[in-house]
Amino acid sequence: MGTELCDKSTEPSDNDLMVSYAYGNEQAFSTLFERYSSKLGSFLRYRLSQKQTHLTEEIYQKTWLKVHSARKSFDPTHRFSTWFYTIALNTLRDEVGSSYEKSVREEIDPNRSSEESNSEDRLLVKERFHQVEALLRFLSESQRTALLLADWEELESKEIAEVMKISDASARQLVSRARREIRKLYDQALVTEGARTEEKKR
Amino acid sequence: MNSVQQPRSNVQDQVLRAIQGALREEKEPRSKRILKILTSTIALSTLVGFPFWISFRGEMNWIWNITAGFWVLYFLLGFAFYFKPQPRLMVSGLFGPFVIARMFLVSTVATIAEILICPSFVFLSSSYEWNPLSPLTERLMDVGGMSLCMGFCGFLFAFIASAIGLVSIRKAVKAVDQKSALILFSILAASQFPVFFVQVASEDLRPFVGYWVFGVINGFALAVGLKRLRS
Repeated sequence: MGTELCDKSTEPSDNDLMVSYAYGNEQAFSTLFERYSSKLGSFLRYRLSQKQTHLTEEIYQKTWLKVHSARKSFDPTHRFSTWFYTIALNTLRDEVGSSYEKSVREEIDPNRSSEESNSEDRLLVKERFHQVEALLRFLSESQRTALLLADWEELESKEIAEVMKISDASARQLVSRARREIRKLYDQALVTEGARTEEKKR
Repeated sequence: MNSVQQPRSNVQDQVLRAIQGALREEKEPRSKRILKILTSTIALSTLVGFPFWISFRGEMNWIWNITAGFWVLYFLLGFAFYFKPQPRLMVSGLFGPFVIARMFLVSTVATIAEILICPSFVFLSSSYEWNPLSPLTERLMDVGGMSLCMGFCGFLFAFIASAIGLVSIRKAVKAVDQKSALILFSILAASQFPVFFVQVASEDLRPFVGYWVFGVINGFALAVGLKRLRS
């Protein structure tokens, strides 16, 4: 979360900042912006395919403008990040179109268990994010969104479900499958890299 | 991995500044905003009204006086929308109050300027007898009579006003979809209403108002079509 590096005893929470911002506090907005600006940019970049990267700036701007116009409707009993990413994802859906919805439906297999979350996979994604971020491109849109929200934003499955407008079980399933997929891709990349090094040595 | 602060890009700066500006504007006293609206309306009305009065002072009948009233009201409305506290950020497909106001004001001023340049289109004669398009209107009258002349007038007025209006909000209309086209047409239709009123109110022009409206729709369609081709 954005407050990770801050001393939580002195720094206001995202929710407190959002409430102040809703009442017109410029400083609260600036702090919130500092916390979420780069994260939103990266979130959008990872979520969009290479053909859609030109939309990143536009969706970024629209998300903030929508946050601004909807600021008075923010409910402080919910987490700010959930509300924020719901707006971002809705904007993304509006811009990119129905391909997103289709991909979410295709990714959710009702016959699969939703309790397959593998803690080892989670650790891999979390700790080596900078190493695996290039592999995110190989995930489907919905997997990528779920994974970014889970391991980057550290949202709970309930919150991911709320943002993505799917059931809690489906959210868990998506995250679990995305982590496994990343692990597989990561292992493959390691094997390929190892083979190349061996070849060079010879 | 993402808690590390990265340098802000131009877009990030623009968004930050736009929203900070909006929050600051919200805190300004209402009287200050009203003063800005009134000052801008008076300034623009003087700027376009003075040459209009100088050119057509002999023909300012009740119809034109009401039309002038419409224009002043338009400026007032336009500036009220423009100075409403809001993030002044032009993003494709988003038509905030200041974007609508800009297109509306620019289209209205463009329409007034068109009458100044070519008064014969609305049956006015300039005191300076300066009408660069009079050979064209004469030719149109010879070929197709009043109907063609009015149709062409509507087309040209709408095309020029829309084209200038679209240029003024080019970032918001990077891609013109159906919804945007409808919004733009509504703004343009509103900006052309005083000219429409002149024609409906004048007995000589009333029978041809349909041709004028037909021309306006085509002029707008051409401007938006060209914009769509460009994007």
